[in-house]
Amino acid sequence: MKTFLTILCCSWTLAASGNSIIVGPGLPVRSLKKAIELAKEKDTIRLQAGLYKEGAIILTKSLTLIGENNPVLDGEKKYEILLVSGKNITVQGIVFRNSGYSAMNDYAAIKLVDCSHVTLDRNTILDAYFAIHISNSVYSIVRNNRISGVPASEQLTGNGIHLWKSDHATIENNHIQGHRDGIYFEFVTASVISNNLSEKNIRYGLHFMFSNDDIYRNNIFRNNGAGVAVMYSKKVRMEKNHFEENWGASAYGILLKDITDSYIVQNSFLKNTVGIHMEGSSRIEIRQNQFRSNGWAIKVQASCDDNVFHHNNFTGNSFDVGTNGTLVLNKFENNYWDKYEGYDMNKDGIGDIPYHPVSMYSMIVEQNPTTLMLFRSFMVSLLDKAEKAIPSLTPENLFDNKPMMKKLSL
Amino acid sequence: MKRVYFFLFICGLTGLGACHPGPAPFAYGKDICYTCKMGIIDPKFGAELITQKGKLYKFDDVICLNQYVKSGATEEKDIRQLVVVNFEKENDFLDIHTARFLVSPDFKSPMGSHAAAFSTKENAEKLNTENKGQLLTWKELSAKLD
Repeated sequence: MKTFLTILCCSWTLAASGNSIIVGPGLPVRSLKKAIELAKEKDTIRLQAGLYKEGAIILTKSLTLIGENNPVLDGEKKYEILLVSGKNITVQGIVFRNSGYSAMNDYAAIKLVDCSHVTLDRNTILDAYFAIHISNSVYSIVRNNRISGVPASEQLTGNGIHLWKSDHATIENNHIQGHRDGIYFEFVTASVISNNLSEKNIRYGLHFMFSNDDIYRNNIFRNNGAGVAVMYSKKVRMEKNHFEENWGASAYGILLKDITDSYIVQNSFLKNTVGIHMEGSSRIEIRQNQFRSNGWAIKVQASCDDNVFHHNNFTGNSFDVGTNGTLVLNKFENNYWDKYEGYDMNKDGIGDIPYHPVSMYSMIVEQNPTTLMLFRSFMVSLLDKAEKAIPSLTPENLFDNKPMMKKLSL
Repeated sequence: MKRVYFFLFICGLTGLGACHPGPAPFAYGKDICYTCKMGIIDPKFGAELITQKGKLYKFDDVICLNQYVKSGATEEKDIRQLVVVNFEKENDFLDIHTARFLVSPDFKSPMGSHAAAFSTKENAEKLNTENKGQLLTWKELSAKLD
């Protein structure tokens, strides 16, 4: 009786977790399409090492698809490799390569449409148009994937991880390179992007449009064509990210356009043409960031208001702050500026005279970029000094009233 | 003699000045849109405004061009030409007033106008396979984009 019960118990557990179907060359089931056809809900398909050229594969059942020893799904540059639509699906450990290109449709190596709770884990995607394309989906998880595009075919490459009209997505620990935009969000809410490395993409490392209530933290955006763009969004938290080496006439660490009620906290901006470029943005708190060795640490257009910059470190930047108007509605306080030449008589660590971070020369350059040629010339230094004594061109009320004497430890 | 050279020199200068300004090809991945500041990268969409003095403004989507024109930053009398990228041919520019637009959710233009430009009505209709799209002139589209 006891044995019988045990067996019953075991078989019941097995049934609950589903059966396993093993797919591989030389095995009874050789094709992934066949396995998906045979599988029932909650089954697991174990794809063994090998090269599979099966065209477009469609997965709509709640399955777990696991690649063992890096099996390769090849799209032969013609097909969208895997289309997923459904719930509770996992795709793991598979190499996708050579997915197709189409001028009209956004072909992707993995496409998720109308999904909930789908996980893409530890996959490798090579030479795709779009690598991962997610639309109308909720609770998607994209983690530990390696994505590498073909930078040679410039504008004919799509985005690495592309999300559209989705919410509650988690994008973590991915490495993306060589795509148009590394990570792209349009109409995506309540989602988290963390610990990703997005580099050497043609346009932006991360591109946010119309996406509210999102967080991105601990990411590295390095050496992308134009840095990172966060546009037309509200309530975005940007924390502990690294924006590095985005060089070029229109490259920015972050480009903020029409952003409101957001936080930029504890990030580091290193060696960018412009660290942060702000346009039409309001109510953003920018604190505890490092701005080091940038052309401009910050460019604030006159269309920005109610932004607060406090407790940041500005070191080794050619220009600290640039602006295009004399009206200033933003506040700078308690920052450390390495160009500050003031004194601290009462030894409270705060400089006794305000620091004006906008130099006259940066105003001239803003209006006439070619004058940058004269940078570091004797005349320019002389003019800057004169302007400091008698301000005329620079916005009088853009200053840090409490500049720190010592670099903040962040 | 000197005078003749001087005269020729002046003629040369005026000749340069009379050089007809027209649309310039996009440097994809380098140019940015004047309105939205995004990098221009999609060769199927885009537009340009050329002023009487020959200054060129580039846009990644007609919605951005429309916004700029309506803003009045360049006065109407100073606009020499408005051109739009031919959806079917890279770096081929069509005059915006003769181009025909097909607006359909199938067209994923960078800033969401969903409008593609074609040289003729027939070419546009060829891509309107499921009849989801709307065929418009610039005047109609521009009114719609507000």
